[in-house]
Amino acid sequence: MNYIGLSKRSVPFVASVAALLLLGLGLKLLGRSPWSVYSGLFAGSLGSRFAIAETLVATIPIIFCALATAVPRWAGLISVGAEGALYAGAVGATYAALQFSHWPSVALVPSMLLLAACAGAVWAAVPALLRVFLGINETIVTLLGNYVAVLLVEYLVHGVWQDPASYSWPQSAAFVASAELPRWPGTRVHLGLAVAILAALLLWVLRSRTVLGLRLEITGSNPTAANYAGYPVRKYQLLVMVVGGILAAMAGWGQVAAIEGRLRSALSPGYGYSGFLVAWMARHHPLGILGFSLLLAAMLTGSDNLQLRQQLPAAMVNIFQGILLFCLLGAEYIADRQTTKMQVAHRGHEEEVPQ
Amino acid sequence: MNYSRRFLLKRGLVGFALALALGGCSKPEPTSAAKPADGKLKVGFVTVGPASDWGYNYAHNQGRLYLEARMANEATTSIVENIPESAELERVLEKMIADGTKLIFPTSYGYLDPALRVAARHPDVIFAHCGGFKSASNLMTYFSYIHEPMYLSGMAAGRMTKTNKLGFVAAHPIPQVLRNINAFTLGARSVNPKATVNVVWTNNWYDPPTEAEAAKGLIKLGADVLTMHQDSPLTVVQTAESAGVFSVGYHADLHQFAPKGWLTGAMWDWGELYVRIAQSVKDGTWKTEQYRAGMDGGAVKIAPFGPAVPAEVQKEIRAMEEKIVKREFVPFQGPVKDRDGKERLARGQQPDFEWMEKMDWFVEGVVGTITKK
Amino acid sequence: MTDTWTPLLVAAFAGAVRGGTPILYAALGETLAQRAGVLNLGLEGVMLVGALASVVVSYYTGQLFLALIAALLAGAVFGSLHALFALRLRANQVVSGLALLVLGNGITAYLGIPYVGKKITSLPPVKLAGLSEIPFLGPVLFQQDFLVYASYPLVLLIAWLLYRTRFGLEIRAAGEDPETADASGAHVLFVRSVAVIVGGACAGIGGAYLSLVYAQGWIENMTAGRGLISVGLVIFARWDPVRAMWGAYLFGLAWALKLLLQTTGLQVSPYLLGMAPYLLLLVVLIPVGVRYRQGNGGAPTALGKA
Repeated sequence: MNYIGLSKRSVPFVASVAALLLLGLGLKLLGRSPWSVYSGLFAGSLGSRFAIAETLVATIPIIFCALATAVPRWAGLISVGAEGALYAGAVGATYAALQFSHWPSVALVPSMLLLAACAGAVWAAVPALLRVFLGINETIVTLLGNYVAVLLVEYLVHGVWQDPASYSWPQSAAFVASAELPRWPGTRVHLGLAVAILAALLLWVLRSRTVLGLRLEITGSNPTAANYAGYPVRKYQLLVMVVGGILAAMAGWGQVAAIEGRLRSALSPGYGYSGFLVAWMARHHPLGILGFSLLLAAMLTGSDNLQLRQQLPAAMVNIFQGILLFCLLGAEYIADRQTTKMQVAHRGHEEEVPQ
Repeated sequence: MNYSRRFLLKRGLVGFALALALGGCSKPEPTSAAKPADGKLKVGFVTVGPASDWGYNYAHNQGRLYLEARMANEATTSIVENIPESAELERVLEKMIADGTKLIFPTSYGYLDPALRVAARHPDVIFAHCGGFKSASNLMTYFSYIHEPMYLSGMAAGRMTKTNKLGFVAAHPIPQVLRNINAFTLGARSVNPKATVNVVWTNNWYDPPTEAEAAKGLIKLGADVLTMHQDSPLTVVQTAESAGVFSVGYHADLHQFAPKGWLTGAMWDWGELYVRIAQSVKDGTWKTEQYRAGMDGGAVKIAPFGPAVPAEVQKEIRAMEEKIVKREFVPFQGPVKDRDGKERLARGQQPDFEWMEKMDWFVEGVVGTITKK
Repeated sequence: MTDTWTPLLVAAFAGAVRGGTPILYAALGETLAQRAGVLNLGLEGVMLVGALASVVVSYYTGQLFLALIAALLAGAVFGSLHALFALRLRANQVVSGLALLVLGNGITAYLGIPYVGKKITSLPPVKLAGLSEIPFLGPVLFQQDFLVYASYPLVLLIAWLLYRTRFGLEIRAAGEDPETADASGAHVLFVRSVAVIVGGACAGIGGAYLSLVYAQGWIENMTAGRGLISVGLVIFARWDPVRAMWGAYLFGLAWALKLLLQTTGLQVSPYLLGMAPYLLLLVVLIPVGVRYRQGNGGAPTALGKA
């Protein structure tokens, strides 16, 4: 009894339209004009060259953090540790920037990247080892780690790394000019964007075109089968966690090296958690992550306009995200039910063969 | 649920398309709100927390409202709240400038770096940063030595305590906060040499549950007067009131929240200073400076006394207030020693800007943690 | 030495009970839900909704009883939203929980704006006559407030419900083996829904504790991660209400100690001390993890599965 044609591929679109309508209705009931809210969001995120550039700037850490959530998920692990690994990466990059400040840019920039990656790997290795060898739930350990990471940065910027030139203000010394990342002229869009997109593409190839990708997916979806097949499950779990840590550390690297120019404790307005959200919205697919990261970043940067011009709080964006997620789930349910019915009707004719 | 690769690829593209479509069909921005009314100066404020916090941000917003009332025909104001102390600020400032804002008050200490960067890009826009230690040709800094009324509040606390234990809930060990703790302690011990000040760091400017727990712990350990340096004084004042102990406020007058236990407090009054800055920008006479003043400048004062403070204590404090306003006395004047006995300011010396902004030690009488570098 | 340390310990343990209570309420509710096989990652959002609802009702009516009912109902409504999506519509529980978290955060931040800085009737401490005079235990356990006292029997009630009643059996069956439970006549969807909704109500009360006792008013995002910690605590407690209580108090103790130890003049960076609650929980997790290394660590088998 279902006459609404809703295919699986149209789910995100239908859900987004439904979410826009629902929120619009809510705004109308509150006596606001949905149109001016939406046009304000658009103008603030994609309505000008500056706005687009700023949206891309916010997209970079979200892509990294979403990938950092997605990769562990491939092997069945739920990590919420992107925020912590972001801070760890920032610490690694800062260490390099402060220690090797006399190096030329060609050596300094890669060394910051490398040390950020190492810090992220080490940070993520803790929950990974605890999970693999002691069976301790990785979700809770990564969660606890997030709080510790921020405190660690606060400890550093209030202590050993405090900039003597900033009086006693808690921040590291400003990085030398040669530590700065190349940018798109006239904007804050930096090299990190290229690295993020490259990482997403590589991971997409890994997941869809390689044996390792397939094995990881089997490990994630059916650990028993993976064990039977003789896959090194523990090694895989370690690998995905560490790769996730490195990816999130890249976000921290970009923030200190290109955006802040020094280490401070207010480094991330919750990019790690935004990334988690994006990863689950995109069902952990690297290319889906690119799209949803852009969407989320656009909403975050656009929300300033709501405050500036509509006297609406930035919280509006969270409400929209929540409604959007529920709409996604609702639309998926409708699409699923239809698929099931079709499968029942034409047994054996599945819509598409899963890879 | 299994999704095919092709489906997911599409999903990603749809996401991209959606981001574009969100407004791809939208009309150009209505510009009425963005354009300043003819000839009026557009003044913008950015705060790190909500303006309704009864604290730091509330005080700045009160200054803004005062400015708007006094210069109704010459200026309009806007405020953006809850902007973190990070490079996020750059984007917000750029958008305010795009909207025609010509004078901007980034009111939080940690806004300095991004504000300086934006200021360098927009020489035609004037910035007034609260608390900064670096200025630029179009960025002035301003601050008022609120530790002076804090010293006076310390006197009230020293007089009223029975346990000789005063509690101080504080956010971060930075000079601004340390000056308040030290001045409060000096004030308390000037009238009650037995008084000690117990400091608990919350590691956060704004974390009411932790502030409340710190306050409750201090009360359990015998503190009978509490004060704080947090973005909002509300939690500690209310916690003290419900536990039946005295409180000394900070940032704003909160006596209505503690009808029994309120003593007094140190508070801001930014209005006149903001009008002065806006007026000079309007007149074209504005020059960059590092404005610093104490109670003589008028931007900091002591809050009204609560009913618990006896008349003679009020008189004593008012007398000292007069001396401070006339600059016959300041809380830190040589000799000043830290709690390890090291001399920080020689006899007869007056503290300068640098000395004030670099404080990283406690005076004698403070019990609490301070890490040495 | 005794003179300085005894009051410090009393203050620390009293703080542990107080600081642990909001987490305990949320964790008790989540224990029920997870035992029934439903993960609710959105406790943070549910707590915020409960906190705001109690502030609004307390502000307008001044009636604490009504404020608590409001928190309970608001939590239950959010719980039923999760039940609707994660159970009725068989959606992914992680995503539905995330949606709840984000939505709760956004809605309360928006609707709460007029209530920031408003004076409300807060929950006063009440000394229990007689019991509060017991040395050490009195000030720690019996000089608290109504919600703390209510949490003591609630722990036992939930444990009794889970282990000693037919409904508890059905809850556990729904979490371990829903197919068999269904076959044996239990209405799995109904049982799970009830567990999730009651769980939401408990989290709502946990949120109300933060606003009515701690902050004595409304502040945006006042849970500051406590909802997420509660979900973690359930895993830490191996899905047992009594162990959840110990876990909550342990977390509360570390939280109170990091503040109180500073008054002893201990010269350790407050930022390092601030790590204590998290590191302590981690350290305690390790032996628990080792003990349950086999299998899935004692988790309800069908946890998270639609």
